[in-house]
Amino acid sequence: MSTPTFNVLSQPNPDLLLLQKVTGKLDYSTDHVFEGKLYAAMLGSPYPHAKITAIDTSAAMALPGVKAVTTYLDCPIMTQELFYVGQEVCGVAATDPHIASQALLLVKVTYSVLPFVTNIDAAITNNTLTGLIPNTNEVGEPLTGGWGDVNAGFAASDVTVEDTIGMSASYQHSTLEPRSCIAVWDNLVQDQLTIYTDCQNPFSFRSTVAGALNIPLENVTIKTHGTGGAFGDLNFNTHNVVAAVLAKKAGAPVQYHLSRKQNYLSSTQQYADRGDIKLGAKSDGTLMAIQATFWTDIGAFPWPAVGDAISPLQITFNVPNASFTGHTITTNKPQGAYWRCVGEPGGLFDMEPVIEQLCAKLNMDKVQFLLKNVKTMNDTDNGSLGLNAGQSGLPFSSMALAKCIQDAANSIGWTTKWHAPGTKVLSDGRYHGIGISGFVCNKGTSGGDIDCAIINSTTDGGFFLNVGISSIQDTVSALTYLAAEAIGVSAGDVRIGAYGDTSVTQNCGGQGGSTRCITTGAAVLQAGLDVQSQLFAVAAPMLKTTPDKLSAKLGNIFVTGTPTQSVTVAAVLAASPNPIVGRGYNTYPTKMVTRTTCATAAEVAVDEATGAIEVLDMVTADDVGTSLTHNGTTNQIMGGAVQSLGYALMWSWFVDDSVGVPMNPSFLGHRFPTQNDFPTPDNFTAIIEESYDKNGPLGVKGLGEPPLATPAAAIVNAIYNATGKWVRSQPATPWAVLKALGKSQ
Amino acid sequence: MTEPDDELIEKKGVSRRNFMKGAVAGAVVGAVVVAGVEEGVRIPGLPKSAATTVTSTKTVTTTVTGTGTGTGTGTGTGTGTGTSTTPTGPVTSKVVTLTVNGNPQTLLVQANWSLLEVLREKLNLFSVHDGCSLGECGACTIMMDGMGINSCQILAIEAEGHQITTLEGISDYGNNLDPVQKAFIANQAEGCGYCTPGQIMQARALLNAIPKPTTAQIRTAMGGNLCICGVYNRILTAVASVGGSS
Repeated sequence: MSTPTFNVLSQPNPDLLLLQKVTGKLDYSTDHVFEGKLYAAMLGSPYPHAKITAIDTSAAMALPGVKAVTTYLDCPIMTQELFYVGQEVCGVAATDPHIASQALLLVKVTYSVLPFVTNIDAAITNNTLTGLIPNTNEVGEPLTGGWGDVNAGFAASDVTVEDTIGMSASYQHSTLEPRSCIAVWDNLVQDQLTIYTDCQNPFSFRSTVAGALNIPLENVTIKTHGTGGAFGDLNFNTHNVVAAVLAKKAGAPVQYHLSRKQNYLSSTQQYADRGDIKLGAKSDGTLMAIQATFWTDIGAFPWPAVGDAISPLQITFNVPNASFTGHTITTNKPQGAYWRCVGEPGGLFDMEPVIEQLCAKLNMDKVQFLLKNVKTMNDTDNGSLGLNAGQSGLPFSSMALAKCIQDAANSIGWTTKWHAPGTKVLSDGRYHGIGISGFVCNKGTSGGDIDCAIINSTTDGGFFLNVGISSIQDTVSALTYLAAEAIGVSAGDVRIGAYGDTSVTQNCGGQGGSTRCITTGAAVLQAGLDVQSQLFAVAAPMLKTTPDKLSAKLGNIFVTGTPTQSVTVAAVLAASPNPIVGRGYNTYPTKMVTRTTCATAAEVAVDEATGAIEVLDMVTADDVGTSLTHNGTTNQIMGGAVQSLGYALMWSWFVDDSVGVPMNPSFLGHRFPTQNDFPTPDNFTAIIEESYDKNGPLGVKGLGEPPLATPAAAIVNAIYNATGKWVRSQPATPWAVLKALGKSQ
Repeated sequence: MTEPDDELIEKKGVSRRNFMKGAVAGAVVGAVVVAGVEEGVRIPGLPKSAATTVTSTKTVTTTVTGTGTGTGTGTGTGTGTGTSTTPTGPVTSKVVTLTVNGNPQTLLVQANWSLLEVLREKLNLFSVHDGCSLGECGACTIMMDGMGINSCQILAIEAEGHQITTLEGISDYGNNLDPVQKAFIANQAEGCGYCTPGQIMQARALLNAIPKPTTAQIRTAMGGNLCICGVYNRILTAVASVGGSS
């Protein structure tokens, strides 16, 4: 496929907020000064399931310095029945953060403690109800789907394997900035509220707050610049509502910066999955049938999440026969929602061991098996049970999984390094293992939101891009580069204008599902082309031609085919009788399916004596379509690998099922990889694949999520290659590895 | 965390050791039972009246990483006997003179406010980020007498007499970038930017102590600064480039 030549895109393109970030000047949610600002603290439920029978806040309210208290009686996000430990019970606002915390101890709550269930197996089999859904713990009807005839498919197979690996890990996003905000009511205008917040979805935050408080939408302004990590959790803003209620009652601005512990308990979590999977293949490795039942433990947030866990198994391969069933089960644990790549990391954890076992039975190299069976541009989509359902049979707008797999394998030296499981020992006595994982991801396509972008000219011959998104990592910068490419000016000619402010920008979807550079990108592209056509209209008489004969490149407008007959964009802007303002809305074709793809190869060393695992080398190849900023793309791929390494080896909730209490709500307990846990720069490679997506604006597709899913699966596969054993509990802590090796109970 | 001069602090009537005891007791409560008392989350089975008292004598090991002369890790043990009760009378406040970024500033601070809280909420030095207030993430790293410390782990009143430097201070409030800042820009060693000020301050402290650190020394020294966006390799390369070791 011929790929257009870019003048701005597909280059390093540094984050335009770099200077603000390294000087500490980028303003995050609470980096604002307000006279008389109060501090909020939150009392969380001590019980996994209980009902508040009485609550007396009078002593708390009487503590000097306390200005407001809120409970389920007047806070729309709180409920009388509580479904998990840490769920909001009582918020306090005081003149001093320590007084607010102290006041919580004066709140007298009487709970009626109710039966609870925190283990998914118990939630399925015994009669204890979570209380979230009447008469059942399962969310809705089971999700089912498939094609062909799986029984015939297995009958026609030479080899079948069947396994259930165990539950994948559940964990909290651990955004470095906990959920935080300042809520400010206008003293002069009735019911006007401004919230400064960390956020990945300003316009959805606005709707949530206005809806909860029952005030008109436009009375609420969400302002968000820096956001200290989101990873899916900042799609939700119960903290904004709490702060707004307290601020209203106290008549003063309220800052609500969740404590790390409260953030762990009452924010959303990644949910855990289990898959019962059966695969059949011909002796030449052709996949003939997939049958799978998935179980998702969604915690205390009932929504049918299981489709995302099934997705990798469902849409990665060409297979004539398939049958899928998915169950989503509630438990009295923190709320399961979207963590980066949603259910797919768990889905890969479930499916990879079964695929590896199939390859072993076939006596076939994993890479060869994948290349034989994965989707290519010649194939059509299998459709999804979860997000983006109903695309079955449509062609792909781009598909580069095979290239991702080949490049990752070649880069790590797969053909020379792969060996039979448990057969290679390093010079220091540790076992060596190598693994690979690749998949087709249902993220990174259009978000289907109504997005708008506005580009306005400046007096110095440049432009401002104004979009409604918040700033997490370098998305705003990436869109600014896209605007420069669309208009035909240099990168520096377009600057970041207004962003993350619902009062001055138009509607925009959230930064979730790896959608923003596509969906908002489509609006930015259209706005850039709108600017360009207005520039051409002014330039045409200057160049004694008509607009349709003109082209623009790097700040020059010229007669197509005659670059010497040109005028600068700055000169055109100076000559323009009016300021130029371009508008764009997202439009997105639907006749082809956009799928992102990613593959990771990993090498590990396993210490048989201690169970300790070291990741020696790792390569991720990620197809992002056109890369808007290579710097940002690389950082996304690297960051995915860091988080995924933690997911594979160290990062999980540990819940005491006897009392229903999460045991490790802290950074140290919920351990995240440090500088010491990740391979050094010489031993991690990010390969940016740019397939040029036919649907996306200038070939762009999604980026943020796929590189999170594959590294963990590659590491788990590498542990198997090293030891010949499957670690059946996630994360693969040293203890879990010793257990797999039969050296620990 | 580096140990400040305990003797000096005790002369001033505030023992860092006492402060740590309180913190240790809190940590024990959190680890052993449910969710911390300081959150007001009560422990199932204990009285639900206001006067919840929790006592623990569990021994806790704290790992102390320093960047003084030579980089190293040490371990210390402490016995925490902590009580968490209802508010115990008025918290005292104190007039202190804090030397922040070279400017002595006299102000009234609450005795129970951490240095982090005073830097952010009283002095509006918003480069100092509050990631956990537990000494676990490094987002609030500043320099005290040239050494990197978590500003959440020291009371503001303990900082009197010490040179406090924040990110604003090493760059003349952004007007004159430190080589570490330039290296972070050159390598785009950031994701969301929230850990970045702490990373830069820890790197500056390391480079002050060890001008040409090895990769292993950088990884050890920077090991307490979490980056959830996960751009560790960029950070490592940036710090190494300032030291000239790569």
